[in-house]
Amino acid sequence: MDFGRVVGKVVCTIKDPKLENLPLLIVEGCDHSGKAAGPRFVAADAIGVGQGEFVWYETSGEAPLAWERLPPVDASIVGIVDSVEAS
Amino acid sequence: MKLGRVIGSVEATIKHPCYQNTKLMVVQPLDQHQQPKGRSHPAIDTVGAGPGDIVLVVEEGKAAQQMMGQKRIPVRTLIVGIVDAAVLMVGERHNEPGALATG
Repeated sequence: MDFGRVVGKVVCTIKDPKLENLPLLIVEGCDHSGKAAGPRFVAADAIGVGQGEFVWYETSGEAPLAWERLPPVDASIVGIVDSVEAS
Repeated sequence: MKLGRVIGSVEATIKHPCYQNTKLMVVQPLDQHQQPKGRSHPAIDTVGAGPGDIVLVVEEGKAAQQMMGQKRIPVRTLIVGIVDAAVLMVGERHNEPGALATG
């Protein structure tokens, strides 16, 4: 599980049927303060996020489990961060 | 499993249903000398850890599903223990204890 910021989106016409109606967003890995600290990659959106939003995502074999139909994805956005209280 | 320090918590309204009623903490991974290593990340707390605690973090889906009592959930990062002490054996004969981390 990691923090990230949505920095773009991807449009694909030809794709696996299980990827239909699945928003594909470009995400930049961040630390808890929102500072960019990781690579950029494509993640599927499970909750409906907007451009620039601070989110967290889950990767690997658990990423498809955000949907019943188990699409072939390896990163899923599963939450929008309202705020982080850090000490 | 990895060691990390809890450095905060996350508030979130919009999230996948499986994250409802969970406590999401911010964890800073630590190296063997208790120094921050890598970037901070969120983790679901299952043991009641608080800021400043050194914790045991598991990153594996099956473990997460068992701990949360649900199958097929997009979760693989959990806090599963609060570390009281971790001792690193150093030296040629591995009999010189060196501090790894203490909670």
